[in-house]
Amino acid sequence: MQIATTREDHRIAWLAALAIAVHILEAAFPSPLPGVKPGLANVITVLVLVLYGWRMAAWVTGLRVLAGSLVIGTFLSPTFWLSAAGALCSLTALGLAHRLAGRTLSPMGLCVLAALAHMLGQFLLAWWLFIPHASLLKLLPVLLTFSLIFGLVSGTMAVLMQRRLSPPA
Amino acid sequence: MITRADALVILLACGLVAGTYAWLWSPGAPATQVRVISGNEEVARLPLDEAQQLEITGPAGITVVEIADGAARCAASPGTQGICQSAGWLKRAGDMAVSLPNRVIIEVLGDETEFDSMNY
Repeated sequence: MQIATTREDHRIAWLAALAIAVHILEAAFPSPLPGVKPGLANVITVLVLVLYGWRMAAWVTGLRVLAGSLVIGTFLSPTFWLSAAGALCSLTALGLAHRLAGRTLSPMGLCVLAALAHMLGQFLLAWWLFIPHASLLKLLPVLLTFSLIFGLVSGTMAVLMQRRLSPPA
Repeated sequence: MITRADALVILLACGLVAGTYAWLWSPGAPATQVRVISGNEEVARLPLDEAQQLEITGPAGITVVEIADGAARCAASPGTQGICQSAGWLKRAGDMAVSLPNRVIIEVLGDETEFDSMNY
C-alpha cells in the first residue's frame, strides 16, 4: 500500500529531521543545571514559523519532541514530559505572537518569547507534578535568566539564518 | 533586523526576569522572637528585643542561649563538634541552631514562616 504524500509532508519531514538532529546534538552537551540548555532546536521552530506558518511549526516541533525522545531514550520519562510541556507553551506563545504581531516581530523577538514560554511551561509542569515544593520557586529567576540569554543567542542565529534563506517559492 | 516589537519583547522579558528576582529572592522576614525546644517540649518563647541569657539543661549538659540586638544564638553547648554554636547569630525568621546531643532546638520566628533549609 502506498500512502499519498504531499510536497508539504516531505517538507515537514525534512525540517523535522533537521530539528531532531539539532535536538540530539544538543542533548550530548553537558548542562550546568537541570532544565538549562541552549534550546537550539528553537531556532528551527521559529524559522519554520516565519517561513511556512504556525501549523507547520507545530508539526515540526511535535515530531521533534516525539522522535527526539525516542532516539535519546527518554520517551515518556519526566524529561519527555518537561520537553513536551515546554514545546506546547512555546508553540502557544509563538502562535499568539505571530497572529497578533505578524511581521512586526522578527525571529529575534519570537525566539526570546519562545525561550521564556518554554522555560515557564517546563517549570510549571515540574513544580506541579515532580517537585511540588515552594522552594523550587527560588530557582525560577535563575532559570529564566538563562532562558533569556539563550533566547537572545538563538534569536541572533535565527535572524542570521533568515537572511541567508530565500523566501519560500 | 531587530524591530521595535522585538525591542519591546526583549524589554518585557528583562522586566519579567527582574520581577521574578524581586519577587522570589527577597530576603526573609526579620525574626521577632525565639523559641527554645528541649526534648519534645517548648521550654521558652522570648522576644528578641531584651538582651538576656538562659540556660537549658538537657541530657548532655547545659546549653546557653544568648539573646542580644534582635538576634539569638547558642553561646555554649556540651556537643563536642560545636555545631550548635557554629550556626551563629539567628536573625531571620526560620533560622535555627540545633544541639543534637543535648536535644535542644533554638529557633527564631517572625511574622511569616520561612524555609529552614534548602537543598538542591
